Amino acid sequence: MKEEQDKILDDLFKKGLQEPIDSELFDEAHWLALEQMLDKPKKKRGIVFWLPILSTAAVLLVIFGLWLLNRGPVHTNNNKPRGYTLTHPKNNGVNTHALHDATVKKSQTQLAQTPANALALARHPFTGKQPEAGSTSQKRLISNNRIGEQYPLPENKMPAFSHDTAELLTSNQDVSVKNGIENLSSAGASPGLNAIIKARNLDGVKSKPGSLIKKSNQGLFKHPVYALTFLGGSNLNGVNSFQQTSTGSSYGLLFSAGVSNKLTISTGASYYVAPYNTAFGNYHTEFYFASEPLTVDANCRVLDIPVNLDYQLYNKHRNRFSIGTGLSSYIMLRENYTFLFADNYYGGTGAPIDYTVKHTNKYFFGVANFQATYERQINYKFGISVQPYLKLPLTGIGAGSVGLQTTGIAVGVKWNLNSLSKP
Amino acid sequence: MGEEELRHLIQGCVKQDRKCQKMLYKAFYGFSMSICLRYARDRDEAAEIMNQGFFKIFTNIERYDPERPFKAWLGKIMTNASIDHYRANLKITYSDELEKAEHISDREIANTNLNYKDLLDMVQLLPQAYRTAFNLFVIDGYSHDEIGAMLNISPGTSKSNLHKARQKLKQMILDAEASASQNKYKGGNDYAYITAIDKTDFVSTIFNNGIWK
Repeated sequence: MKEEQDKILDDLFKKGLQEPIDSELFDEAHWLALEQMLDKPKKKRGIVFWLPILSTAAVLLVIFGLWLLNRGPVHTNNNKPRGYTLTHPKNNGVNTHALHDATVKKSQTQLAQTPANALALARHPFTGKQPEAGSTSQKRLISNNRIGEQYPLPENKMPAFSHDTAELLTSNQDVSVKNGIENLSSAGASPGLNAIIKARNLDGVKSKPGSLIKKSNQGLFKHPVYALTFLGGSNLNGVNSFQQTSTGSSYGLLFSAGVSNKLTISTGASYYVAPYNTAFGNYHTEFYFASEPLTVDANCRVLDIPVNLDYQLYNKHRNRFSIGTGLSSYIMLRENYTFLFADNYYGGTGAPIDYTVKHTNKYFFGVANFQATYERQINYKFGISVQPYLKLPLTGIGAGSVGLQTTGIAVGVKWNLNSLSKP
Repeated sequence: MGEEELRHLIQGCVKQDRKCQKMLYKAFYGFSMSICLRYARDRDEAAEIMNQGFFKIFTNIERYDPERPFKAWLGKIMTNASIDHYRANLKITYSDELEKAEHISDREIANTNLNYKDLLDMVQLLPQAYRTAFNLFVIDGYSHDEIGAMLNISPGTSKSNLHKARQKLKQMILDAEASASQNKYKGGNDYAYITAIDKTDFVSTIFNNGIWK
């Protein structure tokens, strides 16, 4: 009976309201209000535009920094500053690091074939003496030629990138040079060069500064979603493996910005209590022990500053699941080491039993992070998250320079900052 | 509006052409407004919601799939804008408007001659939480689970809000019927005093005493 009444009521309103009638008369005032809304966000767009770009640039810088650190000796050239465009006035050639690989072979051949070079290799350019094998001047000469010059230049006469150099660049009509510039331009390697190319309007050279960014902005980026997450949890710490672990804890505050529907960049600070126990063989010290300890008990207090990028795999209803990676900087607030000896023998001649270090060691981007995050939205403002994570060292951590690995689960409360403003 | 004309307008909107935006706004003003009116308390609030919806449409027009009917896409965005508005104002309205279930007359609803305007007025008189649940369940066909997920409430709360909305609407219909029958038998005194009344006073009078007490 009651259900029938409900059905009658529902049908009455459904039939009456479901098919909206288009009888509402257009009100110009409403359109003017919308026009104001459409004009307003133009100022905000700058922020929306730059935040993800800056964040991405920061991540790229980190990756580039790591690449520089891990670069092989073949690419190392300590005699020259990196990242400039080099031009020799005599041959109007353009040589850059971007073109380095393409020109190395050619230059080496020229080095052997050019009489001037042969002479330079044979004799010191100022003393006239034949240099010793592997001498500095010879290395410099080879080094200069390796990046494409036909003649060695003294360091103080090394041409820096300037407008004069640009003159030479722009006046050169050689196709290969243009292609080189175009490659540089499209790679965004030198904004200054891009600007000059644009200003000169080189024939056949089309630089499109910002074209990549514009494309990305249309499809990938949206209004960032900002959130603060308070995380706390326990962790397991081990050296080089997790066969022998000690339990610690962590508390932290993370700020995250959702730069697209899928990607979130987060950073913040976490306070870690990281105890571990390891064999003395894993502990590196210059201190000489009369009798080597068997194991080391450590208790470290670490400030972890992560920069992570998370990719959302699942998002339905109130549940979200994402995986992420990033780098952490460790600032060692306090390190306390206790050395344990066999048969209570404490090293005999003044060897330390305990060793404490405070505020000494810092490892910028020295730890790789891997995490998976499950998040459940409680309401519009708050959500809870569970985050299993793994931290692997890229460098030795602490006074003993150990391979301190950490894994654990953090439970957090997420506060959606965007809920503070009206949508 | 023809398909070709609509396609032309959408292309103009993609290019952020203000003239095309205005023409599209004008073309779908009535349709959008009638959706938003169901979710809003009054015409001003409906206009605010509708403009939020059109703002989303104009700033995300490139995401529109031309294979799908534009009117359905627009209607969906208007519904979502209404839900966003509900969420944004939840804190303000929840404590003010929610009331305990009242005693409802046992009389049944007969065939009524209520028109679109009458029905819309009744829906608008509902507290926002009841109105939103009623609209989503009865008119737009969402389940209680879906409504719970959309409004960040439990399915049980959604059911409860729907029940209360139905009770209030039923009472309003019965009151309207009683009012109509009273007007029929006034025997020569077929007039009413017209006074300016505040809508909220009117609602509380209906809910607490009935209109003729």
